Amino acid sequence: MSSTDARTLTDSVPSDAFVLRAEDLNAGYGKKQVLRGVSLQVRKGEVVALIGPNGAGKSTLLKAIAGLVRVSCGQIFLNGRDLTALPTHLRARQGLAYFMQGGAIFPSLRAKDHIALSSWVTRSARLHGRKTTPAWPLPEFLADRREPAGLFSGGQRHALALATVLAKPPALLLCDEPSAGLAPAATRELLQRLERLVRDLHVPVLCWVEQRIADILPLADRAILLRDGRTLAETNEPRRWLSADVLAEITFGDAAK
Amino acid sequence: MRYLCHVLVMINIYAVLASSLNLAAGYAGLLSLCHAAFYGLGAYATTLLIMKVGLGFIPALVLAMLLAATLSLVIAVPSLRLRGDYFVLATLGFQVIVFSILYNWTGLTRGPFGITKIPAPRVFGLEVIGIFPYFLFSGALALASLGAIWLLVNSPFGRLLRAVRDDEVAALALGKNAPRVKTTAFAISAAFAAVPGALFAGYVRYIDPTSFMLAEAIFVLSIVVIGGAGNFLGPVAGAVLLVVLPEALRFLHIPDSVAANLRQITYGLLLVILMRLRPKGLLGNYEFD
Repeated sequence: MSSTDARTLTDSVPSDAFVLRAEDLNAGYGKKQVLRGVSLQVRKGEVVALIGPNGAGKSTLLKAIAGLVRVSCGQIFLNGRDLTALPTHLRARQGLAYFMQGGAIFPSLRAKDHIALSSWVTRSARLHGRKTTPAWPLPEFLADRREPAGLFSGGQRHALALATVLAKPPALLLCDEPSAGLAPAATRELLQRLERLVRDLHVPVLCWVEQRIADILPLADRAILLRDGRTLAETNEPRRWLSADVLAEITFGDAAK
Repeated sequence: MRYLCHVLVMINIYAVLASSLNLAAGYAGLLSLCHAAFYGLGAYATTLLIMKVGLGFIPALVLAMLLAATLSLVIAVPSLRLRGDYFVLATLGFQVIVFSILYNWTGLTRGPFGITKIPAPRVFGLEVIGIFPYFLFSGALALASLGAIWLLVNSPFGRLLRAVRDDEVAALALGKNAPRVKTTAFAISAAFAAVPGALFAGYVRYIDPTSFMLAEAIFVLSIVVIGGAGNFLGPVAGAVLLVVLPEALRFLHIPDSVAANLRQITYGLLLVILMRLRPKGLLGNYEFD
């Protein structure tokens, strides 16, 4: 990601190279509209960071893509396939991996059960030759733990949740504030992992960040600034957004673009 | 000896009934207040298929299980897409409706008069008569049912069930069809609740709707909660405790008029004490929200 050749690759690509294409998304909760016509694309092998002030709709946008929030208008394509009408679990089966905020685990299952659960596919899917080699193996310090995951520490849960989400090679990884609740050292480790994931497996990542923007922005290939449910700006050089006025925009929502 | 066998038969019946409820309530997190209805459906369907159609015990039981599973879909399909509390209300409604049907469809069920002279179960050409053979028979059927439930909860499906119970949204995001998993689990649970119904009818040889009221559903739920929801042996331990306890009271020579009330008070006290000291039940590892 940080290597320059990856960045030049993403500049002039044909439109069918988009892994994710969202067009004019409108979504909200009940009568409260949160997304007002967001469009974005994620290309193969790139990391896109979503930033913006509180209430901008970053989390809602990821939920709408994952199918956890109903889209009232607009379309979502994954590798050219229209996902808009599919429920959450069928979108996941199309290769959409969703890493939830803080990392969701199943407290009563052991670490190994998580991986078995995530990579367990029905016989029909196996017959169609779906690959089940893990994109991200379970860290060794978790593989031998026999107690239920509910007893794990915060960092262990986080690592387990990531390994669970990535037990099958995804087409796209959605990350909901990946560094929430992590110690600085753990955040660095997580970022290194994500970087390797993108570089080795060419899995694109779309993540929204609020904390540690300074750590994550330099790793991203592109950044999108969201405000009031609209895309306000987009850049191919996210590093440049580490300037004071953009950070002020993100933090306070000032018109300081 | 006869008395001991009677107690053991009742334990067999309630162990299977509570284990079937545990499959839904403990493993899938589906709090059901209608397992007495499935229990009653099992009793009535098996009895009527034997007496009116002339089927053998086992074919009648299999059909009764299928009937209970099919009727469970009536509640599960519309309400499992909603939040948990609506599901509980739907099961409550189903329980009351099934009781009313058993009570009022006198042409089929003889309503409040109940069905008398139920023949003893015939299995493989043998008639199960006498209390000791019935203990063996009910024990075999209970072991078979519990074995099937054990295989199920320790299979990949059982793992999926607990995952959906723990975090439904996360399971959806992993590509699991959570509503269908819960619907399937509830149908299997309903089918297994029909087994003790058939055992009960064949044992007492008389059934009437008052054995399958809401109070019975709550009693079964308290067996699961006291024994420990989400643990395979929890409902068995709960069934032993809650069947033996009132029998123990019998030896205190309490007048009949007080005994029934005392039984209820004991259950209540036991629940309160247990919820204070062990909120997950005797053996449980899952606590209801």
